[in-house]
Order: sequence, then C-alpha cells, then structure tokens
Amino acid sequence: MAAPPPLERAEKILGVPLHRTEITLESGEPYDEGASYALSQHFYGKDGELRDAIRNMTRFLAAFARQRQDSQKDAAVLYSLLGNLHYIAGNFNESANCAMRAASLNRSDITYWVELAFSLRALGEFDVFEGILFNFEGIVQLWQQSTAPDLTKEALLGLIKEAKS
Amino acid sequence: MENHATLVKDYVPRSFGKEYWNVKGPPQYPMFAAVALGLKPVMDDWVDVQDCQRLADACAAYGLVMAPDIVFAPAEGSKEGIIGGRNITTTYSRGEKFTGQNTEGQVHVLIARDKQAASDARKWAWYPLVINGRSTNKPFVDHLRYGKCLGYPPCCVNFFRTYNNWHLFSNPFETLKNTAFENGNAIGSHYCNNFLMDKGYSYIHHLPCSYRCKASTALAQELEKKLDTLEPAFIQTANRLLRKPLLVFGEQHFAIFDGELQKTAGGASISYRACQYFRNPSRPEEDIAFFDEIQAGDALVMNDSHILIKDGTTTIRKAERKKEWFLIDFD
Repeated sequence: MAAPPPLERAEKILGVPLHRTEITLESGEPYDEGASYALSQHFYGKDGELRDAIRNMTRFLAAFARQRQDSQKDAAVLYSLLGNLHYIAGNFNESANCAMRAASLNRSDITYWVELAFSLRALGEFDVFEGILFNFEGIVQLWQQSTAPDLTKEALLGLIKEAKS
Repeated sequence: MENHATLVKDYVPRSFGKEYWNVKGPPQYPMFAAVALGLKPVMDDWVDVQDCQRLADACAAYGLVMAPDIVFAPAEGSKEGIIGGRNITTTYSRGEKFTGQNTEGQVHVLIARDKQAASDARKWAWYPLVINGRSTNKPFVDHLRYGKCLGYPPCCVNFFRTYNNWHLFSNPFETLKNTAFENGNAIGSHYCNNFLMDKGYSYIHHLPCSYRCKASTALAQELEKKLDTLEPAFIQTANRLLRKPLLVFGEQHFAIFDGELQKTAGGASISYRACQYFRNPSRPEEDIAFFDEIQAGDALVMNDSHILIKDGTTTIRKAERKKEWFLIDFD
C-alpha cells in the first residue's frame, strides 16, 4: 500500500487540518494564510505542544527528504509548514531559512516569498521586507530564471537589487 | 438639552497633550496620554506626510519617540482586479515607502517611550496595503503579537483571536454576547465603551472581550485617575458621553442618543432628545438608509425582527433588523 501524501502525514503529526495549494504569479491569487492561520489557532500559547510539533516535523522532513528526493514540491510544502511553526514559536531565523529552502525547492510558489518577507520583518529587517514586497513579481521571476541552486540571504539581496534596476 | 449637532463635540485639551492634539486632533488623544503617562507601552497612529516632523516634535515634548513605518497613499479605482482584494475594505490604501519626501498620504507611525519598543511593535504592525496591484495579509499570529505589544489585555487578544474574521462575525455583537448581564444595571461599563474612540472619547483603543471586561476596566481606570489630575475637563466630558446609550450596527458603525434605554421582555427601547450617526468610513456599503427618520423621531423600539421609529405616538418607520444590531447602555 502506498504511503499517504506528505501533507496528510503532516496533518496527522501536527493534529491540524491543513490545506495547501500552489499559488503562482500567473494564478492571480494572493498569498493563502490558511495553513499559518490554522497552525496559529492551534498552537498559540501552547509552548510545549509547539516545541513537540517542531521536533516531530523536523524529523519527518529529514526522513522525507532522504527518501523522496524526487518530490521537491512536497518537500517545499513541508519546509514551509515547519517554517510556520518556527514563526509562531518566535524562531525567525529558522522560519526565514525554511522559507528560503522551500523557495529553492519550488520556484513557482509565491507562498514562500511572503513567508520569507515576514520572517525578515520579524527580525527587524524592514528594508529587505519592503525590498521584497515592492519588487515582488520581479524578484519571483528573476529567481525562476536563476541557475543558483539555493536561495540564500546574499542571493536575495542580489535579486532585490536587480529587480529594482 | 443637547441637539443633534452638538451631541458629540470634539474635545480641545487645555494643557496636557495639546501639542499632539494640534497635529492629530481628537481620535487618539487618550491613547497618546496613556503612552505619555507610562500606562501603555506603544500606540500606532497615522499622520499626514507633511505633518510627520510636527508629530515627532509633539512626541518629543513628552519624552516619546516616533518611528515611521509606511505611507498609506490614496488608491486609484475600485478594488476589483486587485490580487487579494477580498481581504481589504472598500476604501483601501496603496502602500508607498516612507522616504521623508513623500508628497501625499498618511504615514503609519509607532509611538513609544523608547526607540526599541517602537521598532519591536513595528515588526507586527503590517496592514494589507496594495502594492503593485497586490494586497498581502500578515501571518495571523502577528495580530496577536501586535495586540500584546500595544498593551491590550490577554483576554481581549484571545477574544480577537476567535472572532477576528469580519466576513463571519460582527465583533461588537460577539462582545455583547460575551457580556454577563447584571439585573438592574446597565449592560456595559463606560470604561469598556470603545465606540467613540475615533472621536477621542474612550479609555481603551481595542475591541474588548466583554463590555464589562475587568482587565480593560482596570486599564481605563488607571488612565482616568492620572488624566483627571492633568486634564479634568476631558474626564468629565468623556464620562458623560461614554454613558450615553447606543444603537450598534457594527464595528465603528452606530448611533448615539441623548436619552434613556428601557429594557422590556420582548426587546428594548430608547426615548431620546437628540442623536448622532457614525458610519464606518471603511465600509460605506453598510450605511443604513433610515437615520433621517431616527433623527426626526423621539423614540425607537427594537424587537427580535424590527426597529420601530416613533415620533410621539406615531410610528414613522418600521425597518427590518439585522440580528447583530443591538441597543446598549453603559454605567
């Protein structure tokens, strides 16, 4: 019997019903904060449960990444969910790293860019936050064309600079 | 007796906070006082781009700092076609970076006793402005963090967490449902009456979890006590206005009456000498069509299904009532 889809397994691990759809520039849809909302409602003020959830998701994601290297889009969703958990816990460096990893694994979904922008804002990096939001489409398009394997902070600053020019 | 035109007049401070009032007028005068008096950690505000330095100077006069965030610039056209338009109100703004050289719009600012507190609050202070045709909501948890930063009571932050969705809930109506009724007393406490906050008369600037919320009342009483020694005329005016009965239609949308509320088995009524209508500027589509009749009448009866507007013994209008509309009085 085939294993259940990764999002379903994540729902089971976290105990929260989740819904994720890929949001692209072309779809004309805004960032869907549904998963972030559900996770906030479930874990806000429950620090112990949140710590356990982060630990369990991290383990699941590590195993998934090892076993399913062919499924980058699913891995991106899982990184994004882990990033959401870190964001709720106030671990903003970790949530930014998860968003960058997700954007590296799936360059079409704009969700990860919004998550990255707000993680950086939470770190007090207001200029970078505005750099992303004011050049959103340009940055996403440039990243889609980029040959760099991973989105890093340095690469992000380069994208913002290029999108502005 | 008060007439329609003079029911809620702007309060002009005699001394305390006058510098702030001269730039910003009444809307957040009590909150500025609360921050200046060390009772509230941070407040947020909006100021015309041309007046930004004047507001910074007014803050400095009270030992406060002001951190500019982003400019709410006038938006062109309808929200149709905006990505994420469903999440914004009918009247919306375009986001523009604050440069200090902006020529139009209002700067969103954070005001606190020190730079760090203002900067920390700014992290969670994002509003869904439209930038290049796209509106982006902040993560939901930021609303809760922001409420905490602004000094809102945890019970009210938690209440907001449950009922924040204005597509699904009328926040004032949910607050009413969460208010424990005490026989013989008014429904709410004037300390928890936030309806007139945009006219500058409210001791709180958040949506209370109940119109008798103990934590909100404690915050309000502290402000009342301190401000009474500095600006007693404000306290007298606020206490008088905050006790007047209201017909509530929704958030920032209500009518205030110079009159008395009577509760009956089948509903409630108000007999009044004067009234004034306040619309929610962000949701003009919710304006009611029968306020002229309310103004022409002298009594209003609300039952489960209708509002009857009377002039003497004559019913001059029978309007269908939405379930979330309610009458409320305060002591």
